[in-house]
Amino acid sequence: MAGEESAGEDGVDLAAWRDVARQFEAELGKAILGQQRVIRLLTVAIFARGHVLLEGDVGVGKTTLLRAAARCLGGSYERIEGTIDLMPADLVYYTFLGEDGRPRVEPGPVLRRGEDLAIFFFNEINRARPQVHSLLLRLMAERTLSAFNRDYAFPHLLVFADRNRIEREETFELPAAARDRFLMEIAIDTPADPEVRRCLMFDTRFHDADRLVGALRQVVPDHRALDGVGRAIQQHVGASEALQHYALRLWDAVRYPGRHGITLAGLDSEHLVEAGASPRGMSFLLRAARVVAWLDGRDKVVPEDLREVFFEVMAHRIFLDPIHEMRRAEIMPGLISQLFETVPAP
Amino acid sequence: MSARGVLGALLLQMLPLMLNPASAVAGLRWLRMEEPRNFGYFVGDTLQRHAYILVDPDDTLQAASLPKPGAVNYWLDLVSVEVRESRAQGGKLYRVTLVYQNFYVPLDPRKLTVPEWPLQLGGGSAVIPAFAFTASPIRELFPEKSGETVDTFLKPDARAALVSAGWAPHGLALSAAVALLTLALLAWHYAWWPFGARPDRPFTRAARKIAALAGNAVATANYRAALLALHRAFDAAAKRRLLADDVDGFLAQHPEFAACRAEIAKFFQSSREVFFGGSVAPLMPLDAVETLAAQLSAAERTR
Repeated sequence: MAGEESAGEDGVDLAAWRDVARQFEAELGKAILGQQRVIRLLTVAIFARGHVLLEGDVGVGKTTLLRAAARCLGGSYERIEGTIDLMPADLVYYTFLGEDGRPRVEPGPVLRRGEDLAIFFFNEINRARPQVHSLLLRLMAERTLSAFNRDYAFPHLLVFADRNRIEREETFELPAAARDRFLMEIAIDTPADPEVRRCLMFDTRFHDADRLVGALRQVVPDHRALDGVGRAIQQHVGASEALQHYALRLWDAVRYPGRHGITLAGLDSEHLVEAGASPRGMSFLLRAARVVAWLDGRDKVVPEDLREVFFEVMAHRIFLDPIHEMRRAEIMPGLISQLFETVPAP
Repeated sequence: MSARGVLGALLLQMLPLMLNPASAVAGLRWLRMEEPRNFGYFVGDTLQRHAYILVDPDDTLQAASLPKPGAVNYWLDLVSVEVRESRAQGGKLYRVTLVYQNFYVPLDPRKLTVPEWPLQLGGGSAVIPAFAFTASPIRELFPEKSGETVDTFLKPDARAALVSAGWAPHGLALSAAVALLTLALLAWHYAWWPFGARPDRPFTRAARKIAALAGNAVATANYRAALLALHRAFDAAAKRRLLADDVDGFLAQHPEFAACRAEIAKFFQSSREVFFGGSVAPLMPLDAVETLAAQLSAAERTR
């Protein structure tokens, strides 16, 4: 299998890149304790070339994780804080008065690093207005931007965003279109393992995020090659006919849970889901599943790969009946675990 | 008028009273008895006496003066007393029915007397007269003289007559049927014997199905069908869809299958190759799948 991989169509050595991916995970694991699954999902997103939205409480290490990922990945990195008065132009242009008293316009955070920008980190994205979200739509979907009378392309760009899920005041819910463009929505919880908690509390290494991130080494030799690696993975890893049928059954079952015998206590599964996953969502799912299979050393997708990433890739694309929408956080995990417990594979 | 004249007048006035005591009482017009026969009574026989008493319309018979049922003396019981009141001849007619029972055991025919009983009216009184009757013995005085012995002399007890139970037996049968039906429903509801469902045996079903498939010529479709049958059995045993990565958890929950761990892992690997890996040469031949199904089927019966 390794022999086939090294002769990839683009001349990409997938086996070597798998080692890189594992080193990347190991390096991130040094800085982020007790979040192996989050690290795995982030790695999958990076190799699937998908944008990621992190959700979590304040202080669980979302920002540290993204900074550490940027550090291990290499390439340039920009971040911006979402605020209620942030306007789209603030992302693109930076205006100020020069020393000579004349107004100046210079490239803003998105453009500052030129087309080499690897990671754009949007902190507290739900504090920004919908206009800003619209700008992100194009940046995420097409990786292009118009400014200074020309188009900029960011072929290597990944957008990472985070939001905290506690506060709702002065926030703007992300439009469905924007959420659909994120490959994954990953929830980060406080680690439950007492040993990890003890380390996080008492080990001084974790108290200074700058030094913690600074101590990591860049493991990806050239982040600009990742696009090619991603394409090679998608070409190399196949999905058999049985798996395609399985994925189609999952797609149908998540839209019509009642028809597939999925029952959730106290809920009417016939009318639970108002709109199911989009075709883009399903293609994202397969994209992520292929990367999981590749990381696992396989050249075929198996149902476990779909299950591994299903919640993060699909949950935010499923729209529940409005009366259940407020309880989404408790309904969705049950629905998705029932989905995999009910739909037969193969 | 002389003293003799006064006495004579008084006696003249009292003459009717002395001749007819009833008429001497104000309010009572007459009392007539309707008596039963006065002969031929044995021990245990009852006598029914009726006393008809006609009084003035505004007079009443004092109920407290009626005799109370119970023992009159050592050989006579008053069994019941019944009073009926009606209108007759412009007055009030009482019919007092007295039922006596005789317990006297005479050795020869003997005359017995039911004692008289005084009654109190609203304005006067009346007397139910005594009644005499002849009671007779029921046995010989000296039975041994006629050749009787103790065995023949004592008559056998009368056989008790069967009392018709009416609809009661049918009612009993119906109630019993309803009770049994209810018990059966209750047993079904609580899954008592014989409704205690036998534990499901998915692997046994799968083993039968695979054995049937293995009998045919081995074709790819048959092999896939055999794998699917065993997959469904694993799903049923785990009560959810079991994927290859879940095998360790499944075996931890169902230790009875742990002996086949290596074979089960091989089965899932083989199935993964066949369904998702596009492999044509299966790791595990159909015979081995059949053997595994048989082993699992035996293991699930030990539960």
